[in-house]
Amino acid sequence: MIHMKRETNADKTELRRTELLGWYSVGIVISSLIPAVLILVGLEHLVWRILLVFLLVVGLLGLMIWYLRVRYAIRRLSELTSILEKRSAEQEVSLKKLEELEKVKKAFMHMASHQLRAPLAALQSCLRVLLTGNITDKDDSQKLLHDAYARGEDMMELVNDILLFSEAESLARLDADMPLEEVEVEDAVREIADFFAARAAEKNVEFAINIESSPDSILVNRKMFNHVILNLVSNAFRYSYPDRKVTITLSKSNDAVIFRVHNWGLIVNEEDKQNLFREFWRGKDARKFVERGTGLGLSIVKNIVDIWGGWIGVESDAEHGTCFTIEIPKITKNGGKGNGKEKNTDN
Amino acid sequence: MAKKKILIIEDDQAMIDSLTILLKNNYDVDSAKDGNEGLEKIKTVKPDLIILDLLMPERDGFDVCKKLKTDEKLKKIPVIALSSFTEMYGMSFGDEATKGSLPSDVYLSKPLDPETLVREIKQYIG
Repeated sequence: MIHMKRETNADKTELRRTELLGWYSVGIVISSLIPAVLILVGLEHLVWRILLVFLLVVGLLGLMIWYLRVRYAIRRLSELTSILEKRSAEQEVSLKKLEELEKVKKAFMHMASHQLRAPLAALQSCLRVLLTGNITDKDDSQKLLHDAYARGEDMMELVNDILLFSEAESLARLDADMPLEEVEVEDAVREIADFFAARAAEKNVEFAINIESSPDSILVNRKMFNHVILNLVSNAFRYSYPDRKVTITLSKSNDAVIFRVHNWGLIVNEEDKQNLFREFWRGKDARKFVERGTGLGLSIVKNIVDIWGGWIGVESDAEHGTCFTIEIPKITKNGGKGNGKEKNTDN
Repeated sequence: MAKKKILIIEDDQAMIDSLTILLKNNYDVDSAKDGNEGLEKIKTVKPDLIILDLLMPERDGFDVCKKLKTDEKLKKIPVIALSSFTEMYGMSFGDEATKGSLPSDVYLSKPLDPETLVREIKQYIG
């Protein structure tokens, strides 16, 4: 902005100089009329002739330079106009983006506050019943306290998800730069998988990592990357039947790293596939399978994958189980943000 | 004398627990976790009063309430609607101006106020 102001001031000075040059040149050409008239009335003298020629030459030269400067000024003016138009269009786009973000945020906050009310109301209801002082049975008191605590935990989970969703949403819509780092994909996934060893044992689920082709490293935001993988693997366990198998498969294509998380459990029906990535949405079958959930996990994952220019999809049927696939374009350190892909998703 | 029967139709287990614990000493309490199950249980349990959550997946409380109040056999069962929302479908709950806009007999907001709920129940079924 300061640079632009400086440029405009310099242009103003130039225009003023050009204007003065024009007037001086016209003045010189007009003043050449004096020796010309003197010569015409017969007062011929060499000095008048030399003065006439000098004034005409200087005046015409001045007019010529003036003409060139005017042409330059016109060109410069048109350049400045187009720069201004471009900047104004850019500002309009930014403004629209901000307005859109504001609208999305408002709608989201409205929805989020509604979603928070349910566990908060349940938590308060349990405590209010306890506070009546009429609950004498110890088991009943314990049950109410347990319910209040569990609903408090639900709220905490929801708040965390809302914060993460909001962060990913803002980054996606404002094209803000995320701090990126080189992540060794196989190591990172094995590290995350270690978290789930206890969960696998608890549910008696076999947990395997299958490396079809080692995808080397990618440049991503580590926090977002961990969240995506954690969420998909966590879901695979939550919605898996006991005594079955959860598998993470890693592979790569020319321009992308491919993750597949497969389990045997809840089958995602066609209707649910359409809505799976919507905020706060949980399918009927999913609610039956696992009672609690914020309905934000997969929408956060999709937002992050979208920021990467990647793709997420799900295949699910009783014969093959359920498999979530994400493709993350390889991002190079020299600024390539990966190839955004357009695919027909199943979801 | 047999206890009066109350059916709670509510999808939140913590709410079911708190209502059941509050009322079980004086009433015979049963529960259903969604609107469809609720409508089924009404036929078998034959409750004297229904406590109904308005916002539930599948069939919501509004729908259940409309079904009850348009059924000649069931419309006399008092319905106490419960919701943590102050407005839904463009209707505001709990103020005088909109009283009667809901087909339920009473609207109470969550979180539960045990005293008010017990008073309302007593008023209808003793």
